[in-house]
Amino acid sequence: MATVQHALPAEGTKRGWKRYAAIWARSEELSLLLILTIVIGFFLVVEPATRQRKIYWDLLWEQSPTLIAAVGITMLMLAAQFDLSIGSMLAFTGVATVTAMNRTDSMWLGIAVGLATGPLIGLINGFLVTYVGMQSLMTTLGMMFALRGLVYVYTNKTPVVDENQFTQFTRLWFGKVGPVRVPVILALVLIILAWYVLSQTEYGRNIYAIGGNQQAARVSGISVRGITFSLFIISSCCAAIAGLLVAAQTDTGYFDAGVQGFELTVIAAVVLGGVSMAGGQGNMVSVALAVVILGTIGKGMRLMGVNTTQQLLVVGIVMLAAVYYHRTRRRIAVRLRNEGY
Amino acid sequence: MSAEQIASPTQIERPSGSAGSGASIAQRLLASPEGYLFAFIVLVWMFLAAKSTVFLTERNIGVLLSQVALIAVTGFGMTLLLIAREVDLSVGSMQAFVGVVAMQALNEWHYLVVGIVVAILLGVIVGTINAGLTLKLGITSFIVTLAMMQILRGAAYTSTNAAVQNEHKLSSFKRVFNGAAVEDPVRIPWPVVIMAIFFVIFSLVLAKTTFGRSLYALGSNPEAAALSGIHVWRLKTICFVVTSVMAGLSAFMLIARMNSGQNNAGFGFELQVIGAVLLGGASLAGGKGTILGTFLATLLLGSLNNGITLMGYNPNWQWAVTGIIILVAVFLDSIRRRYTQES
Amino acid sequence: MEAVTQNNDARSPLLEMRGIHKEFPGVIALDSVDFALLPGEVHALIGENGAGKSTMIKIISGLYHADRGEMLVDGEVVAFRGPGDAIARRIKVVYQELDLVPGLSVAENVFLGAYPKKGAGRVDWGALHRNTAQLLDELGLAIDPETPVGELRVAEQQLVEIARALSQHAQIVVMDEPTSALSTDEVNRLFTFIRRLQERGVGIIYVTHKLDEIYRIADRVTVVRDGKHVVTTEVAGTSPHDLVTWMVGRELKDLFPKSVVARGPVLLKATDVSGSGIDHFDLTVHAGEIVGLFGLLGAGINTVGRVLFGASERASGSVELDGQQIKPNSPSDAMAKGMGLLTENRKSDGLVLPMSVRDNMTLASLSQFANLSWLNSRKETKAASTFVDRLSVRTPSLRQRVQLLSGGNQQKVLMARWLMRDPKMLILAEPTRGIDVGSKAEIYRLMDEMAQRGLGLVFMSTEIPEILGIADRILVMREGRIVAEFDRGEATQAKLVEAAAVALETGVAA
Repeated sequence: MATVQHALPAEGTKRGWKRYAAIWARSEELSLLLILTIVIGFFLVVEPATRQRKIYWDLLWEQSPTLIAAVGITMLMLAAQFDLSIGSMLAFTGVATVTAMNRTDSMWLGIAVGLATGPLIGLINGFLVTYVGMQSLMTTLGMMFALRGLVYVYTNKTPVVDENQFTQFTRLWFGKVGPVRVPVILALVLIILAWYVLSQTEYGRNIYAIGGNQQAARVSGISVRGITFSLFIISSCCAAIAGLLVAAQTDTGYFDAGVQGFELTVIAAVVLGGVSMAGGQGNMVSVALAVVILGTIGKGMRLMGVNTTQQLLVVGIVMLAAVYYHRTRRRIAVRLRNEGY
Repeated sequence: MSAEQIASPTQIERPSGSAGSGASIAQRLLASPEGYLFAFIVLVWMFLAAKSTVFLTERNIGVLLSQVALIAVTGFGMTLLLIAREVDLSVGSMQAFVGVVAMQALNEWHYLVVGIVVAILLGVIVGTINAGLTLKLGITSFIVTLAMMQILRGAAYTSTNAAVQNEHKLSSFKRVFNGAAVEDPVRIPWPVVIMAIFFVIFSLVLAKTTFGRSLYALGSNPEAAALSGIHVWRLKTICFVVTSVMAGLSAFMLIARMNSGQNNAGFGFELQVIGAVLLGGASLAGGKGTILGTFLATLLLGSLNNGITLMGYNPNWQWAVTGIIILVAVFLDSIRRRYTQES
Repeated sequence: MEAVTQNNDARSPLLEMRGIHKEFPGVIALDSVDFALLPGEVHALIGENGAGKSTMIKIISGLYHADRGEMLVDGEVVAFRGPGDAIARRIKVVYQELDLVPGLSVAENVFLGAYPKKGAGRVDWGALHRNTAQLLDELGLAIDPETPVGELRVAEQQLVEIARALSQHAQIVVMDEPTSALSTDEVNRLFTFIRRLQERGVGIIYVTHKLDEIYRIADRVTVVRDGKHVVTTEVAGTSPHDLVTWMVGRELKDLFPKSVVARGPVLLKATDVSGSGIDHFDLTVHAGEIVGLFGLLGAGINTVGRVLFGASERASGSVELDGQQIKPNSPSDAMAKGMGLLTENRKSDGLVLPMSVRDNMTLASLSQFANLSWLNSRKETKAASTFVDRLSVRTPSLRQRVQLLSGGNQQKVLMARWLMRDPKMLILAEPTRGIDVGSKAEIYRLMDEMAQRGLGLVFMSTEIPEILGIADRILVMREGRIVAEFDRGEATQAKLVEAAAVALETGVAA
């Protein structure tokens, strides 16, 4: 009977550094932790202004909309789908929320309406992709345009100001639970929830199956359509929550929220976090780390006085480097595996 | 999954029916994108002509076609690229980047030719970089050009704070967009002539040359093409470069129109172009698309936007209209795919 | 040949197909087929490629819907809307094309879609791994259930695939060529397992080309040919000759037209070629000679073709055609020096399906028809119609989309593409895969003609009858290297199978 060894080779018989290299090559989380450490280390050395602890709490706070949206996008991309409409969702949700608040004079109704935009748009996206059979990339691209356009037309490119001045609303953004801001808590809760679902539940594992081999998933009776549909709803809901938070920042529904490439930033982070565009590979923790890394780079550069608009340059370059890095890492993992590591 | 498959991301597979057969000629004509686009344009034009006395004037058509040219010229290049199963999202940022640099060059040297050469040169450089990163590094063109879009936008912002104004005051420059190549019997603005020339060249190349034939094969089935001796990399590189050069030329026409190189130009331009090309019959999966289709699609979009302006509707509708048109395009594409899929 | 159906059994069938009819544009895949599977039997399903076996399986598994006819499970008429319905009726299919999710572990693949759960949708990892380990153990596989499936060898993956089918206490199991990558030991273990399933009353449909396996494991056998049910009979008492004749429809020797061709000078000389899993491969082909390459799934026979042509990486070794060295990894160089390659997947990397017959034919010779890149449409059409006549390609017109042609005619279009280049040597990977019997004979005739005209041919096949029928020399491969070589007349089915399946470690080569 052929016994196949898949454990690591015995100590001392193979070169030690290759063992560690294999562990590193296999793990997305480790890679990103390493990168994060390097990035933070870099800034700590170079820019004294980064040495305050407050900076890092602020960083998480600023990044919370991105983190939340990234949760939805990660789950979607694991199933090999895309959602480019999240940027426009920020505006759509924000405007809908404040408009509803103005119309009904009720903050809670406004928030409810805002939250409702999530499932609404998610349903449309999901329906178009899973039932009509349209490709998610261009479909959500079109939705992005359409939503943005509708917001422009409705608001006539003027911000929707909260006429009732619900200061309570801004507490959604500025409020604290203990030392931690509310948005950060929201983000962490969602991230942990997503991580748990993806790694521990059947639903989550099926997402990987759909992304890894859709045919195999279908043939095994997994409801590919149903799960994919639900993922679009999840993604839009996450975007809606993010949109609420953004609106709460200024108590205003801003028509240009997210227009400067929000969806691209999120996708960049997800890809940097090791999620494959083809689906089936990646995990939530790495993505969260990636968002933090990108945020750190941005914040660090700002503190250094680097032109904010030049950050676009850096984001672009970082994305390319990220994809190339993960591709190389995986190739190394395969080669080491063939050598028995 | 291969890079090609990512460019056309996973579609939820639907149970396929058997392919249809035996349609009447009218049905078949309308089934082709060129056919129904033409029908829609006729309808829209009739409607607009009825609703507005200004629509069918020589001046308005000239303006309409000039604006269409801005998108169509890039669209012709993008058509080649989509046929080859690649995409270029950086053409929007190119409008800003090339616009800014070309205007600066014009201000420096005071020769129209210099501006044009700069635009073309930048196109060659960017296109080559796009091709290199996509082909050599094996990163899908969606991501590569997405990144390039950021980079070029950043470069444009760095280069100037808001806009590069026209300091050279070249008279020939003003004529690039507003001047006419032909005055009698009908006034044809320069952009329209440029578009027409490229229309003819690109159409012929696609339909009648080995390059065109190889490109369609390559887009439908890159493996088969490679195994038939087609130089996949070489052809794709040409497509990337051509697209970027066309984007550069569009950018040049744009700065002539705006009389300045603005660093926020071209926001959403790439989506308008890709949307139009897809509407015109191309597919993200490659192997399909025609120059005529792209032109008709751009014309339709342009006519709708023109109509919105003429009839006094809120110009902000143009965004929404573009988005809806893209959705319709993708919808039609998905139907087309379903009917040509083998059971 | 009359349809002979013997069913003396009083047991009621687990699965029945009555008058099942399925058509696709241009071809009738199944023509009013009847079939019955009894409980506890191993029922072999045999037929040539394209005979309709895979369509039957897809209908049973719920992937396809029959156009006419009805299917019964446990005596009840069923209409599956999808694979989920079939799975619900305890029908499991093990497909030949491995359909595993590389990113998930062995356990997650084996129980894909049916993970043991504990409350709130959480996966019960303990139970999952235990159950998987148990199944793997019964199949004789000692693999850690948590291993990512992408890390396994092909043979191991095939067994995981089988384990997956067995994970849910299926009542009806369909196995499509389950042993194509397995060694003799592994096959024995599988058969023991199958017998155990039989004892439980499970009905097994066993699709295979290997007649010897049928005699070892099957109770009854059904033969299909050209979409029609030919015969169903007890295995005992049926001779292999009968089976083959039923499968093929005529005597074997008519099938393989083979003329005596004088061997010309050496055309191809491949020396010590390695790369892409191929190991120190040597090959000499003379003009007018047909060399056949045989091996199991994963042996590398098709990869050799790609490496020689330059489509897959050649790490070392030299390839010389007619005295000229061919550069590695450069198909255009191989083509320029007179080599051509028809891959085994004519649909996925040979033909451009949406393009016309004519355009597919001229695809590799465009420069011939072009003046400074400008294509001469008339010249193309003329050349294409010449080849349509020569190769008897059945198509309504040259403009017909090649997608709509039958498999045999598609293959001919591909051959025309290469013949248009007037090559010196052609490599044909599984040239008759998925082609109906009638067209197969035509392909063989074409190959014979090409040999007569002085081309050197190398072809790869997993079908023993055809290798024995047309090859002048046969090379057997296993795990990327040549393990045996036979001259025409020396080889027998038994020798080929033995050579292909013997593990290298034991060092025995036929």
